[in-house]
Amino acid sequence: MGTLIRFEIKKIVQNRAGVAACAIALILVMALSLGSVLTAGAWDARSGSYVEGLGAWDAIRRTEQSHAGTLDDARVAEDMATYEEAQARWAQDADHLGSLSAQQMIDQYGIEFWREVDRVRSDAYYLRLKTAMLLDDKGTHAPGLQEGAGNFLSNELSGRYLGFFPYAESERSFWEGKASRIEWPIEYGSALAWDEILSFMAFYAFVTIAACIAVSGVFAGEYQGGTASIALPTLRGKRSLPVAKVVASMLFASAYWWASVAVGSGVFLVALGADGAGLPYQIFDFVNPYPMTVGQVCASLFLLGWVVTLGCVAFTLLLSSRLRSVMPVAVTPLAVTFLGVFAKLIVPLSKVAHLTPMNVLNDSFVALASYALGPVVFDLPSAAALLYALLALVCAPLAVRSFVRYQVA
Amino acid sequence: MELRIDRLSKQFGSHIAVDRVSATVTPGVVGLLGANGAGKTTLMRMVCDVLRPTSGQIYYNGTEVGAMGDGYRALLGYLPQDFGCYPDFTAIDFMCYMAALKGFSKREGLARSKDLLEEVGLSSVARRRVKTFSGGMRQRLGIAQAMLNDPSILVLDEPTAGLDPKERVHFRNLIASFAQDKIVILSTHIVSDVEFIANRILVMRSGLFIMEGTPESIVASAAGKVWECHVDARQADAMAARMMVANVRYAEGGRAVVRVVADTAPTPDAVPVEPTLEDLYLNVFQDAVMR
Repeated sequence: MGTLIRFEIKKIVQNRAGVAACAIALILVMALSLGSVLTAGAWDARSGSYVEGLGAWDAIRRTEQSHAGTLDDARVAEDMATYEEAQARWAQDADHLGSLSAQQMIDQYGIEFWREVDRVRSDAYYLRLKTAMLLDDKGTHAPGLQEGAGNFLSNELSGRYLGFFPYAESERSFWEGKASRIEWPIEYGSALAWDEILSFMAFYAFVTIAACIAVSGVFAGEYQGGTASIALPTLRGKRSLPVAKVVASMLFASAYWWASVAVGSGVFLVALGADGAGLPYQIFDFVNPYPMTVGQVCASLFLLGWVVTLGCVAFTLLLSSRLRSVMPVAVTPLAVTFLGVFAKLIVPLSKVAHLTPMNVLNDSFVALASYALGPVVFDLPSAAALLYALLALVCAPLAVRSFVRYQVA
Repeated sequence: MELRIDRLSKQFGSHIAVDRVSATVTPGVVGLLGANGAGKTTLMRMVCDVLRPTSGQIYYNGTEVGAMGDGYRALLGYLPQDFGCYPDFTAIDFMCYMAALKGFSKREGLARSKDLLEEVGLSSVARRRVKTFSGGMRQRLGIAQAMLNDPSILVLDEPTAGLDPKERVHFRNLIASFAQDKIVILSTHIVSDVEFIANRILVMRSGLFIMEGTPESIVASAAGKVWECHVDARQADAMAARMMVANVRYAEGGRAVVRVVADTAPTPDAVPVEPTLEDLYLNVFQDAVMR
């Protein structure tokens, strides 16, 4: 079996179109990561100068670290006061200030004014805080971050998801139960690399697509090349061979997925540092209901992406075992992924579209999309994990069966 | 050892490719002779368990081959028509892969592969990719892979296609020595291949076995139907257009010696000659050849 698996992996690696697709996707992931690191730009609050590249990340880190600490009610009230004071000072001369660049503001009003007003107004931390603390349209604030986040979630759940899908009682309980496990007050800090990794997660769908293209010829290539007629009438042709093909495809896809993850996230982790993995996921969005750390979310997304990849690969193998031509097999995962992206724009289709590869990676642990099967509720990551695991478990044996039953005619 | 084909049929839509054929094959070389579309390849695919019959069974030593499963496939060696191989594999890799499929351990597979590549004259190019091979080299590789497991039943569909005359002779000798205690089913258009090495010939037409016997008995059935006549060269061309001319040999003085396959003498001075298997082929497949 080991020899057959090795040969099957060799065949996958010798498929030029597949290898080219894998190389392109890997280069894309690496280029996007490197590009993001090297082309970043930020205003340095300390010097008032605009810095680029790794210097920009140092400036961003300093800003984030300036907010580090436990966000208890007193601290949040203090920060909200800082933000409101900045807003008030801005409002005094809003028309003029709005027309100035940062440099002009520093030149005309001094660096202290810029730091205390403009920087605070545009600081992501304060903006997120404002969103979480706002209880109504009149500007009423919650007494603390926990209450603000709870209020935000209640408002969301009392409406409809995307204004279309009403939340069932079981779904409300599900989300409220999840949010109740968050340990307040949360600890804030800097987690730059993880933030970037999460931002680029959707692009890993290209890795999944490339893996599918690479394995598209595993069965169909045997039919198309006429090799099925010599492979099938052998001792292991109808028993070990199709299993070896499935195992080899899964091994290849897994190795490729994790290599891509290592390359993509490695760039961020090496350049920006791994700090912040243990901080609560709420540092990126105070109203997020997931009681997880940043590192846990990243690890879960990578695992989820792997399951999605295995499911897609198994589906591709099933198509490959049923079709005699490689091209439609290779194109299908690509089409499903991109149709899913567009279908998400059509609100009634969005819940289904969420489950397509790119949307799963982009929206998991972010969207309040849930799927109720009676009293059982799945959030997007668990629904996707279940769907793609099932796809892998069902499609792989069906692919084996189709190959065994193939008729050389 | 016996392979029994029992009322085997294969129908594709409304077309019957093989029509309830029966035969019992014992060790030795069985030549399957027939024109294109006669059903030879379909029959061979069914024998090799890569195409399910519409009806009928195949028995090996009395056991239905479907019930034997892997056990039956372990006995098979198959070289299909239009033999497909993995173009990016080297010859030795391809052979080792086929050896793994045939149940060899890595070491045994490598040793056996090297021996067979030597046997078919490909050992010097064992490390070359198959895609760089000529048609004849590929065919030799196909023959080698079919013989890897020293099969009890060797099925060869057009094995000499693409081989030069020297290679064909070498291949024929290889098959003849191999077939001493094995069943070899050989399909070919090249009548001389069958004529030289087949112990028995099955002639197929429109999905049916229409003749069966030793090469001598089959050839004998064409006795009295092969004629040779000396005619004018222009007359020879005219004869070729309206009757089954097996051969025209142009002689000096505008004359020609014409070999004709016909039930009656084509010219008054025509003389009957000894038939060959090729004459028989032309006689049986007159319609297909004339078309």
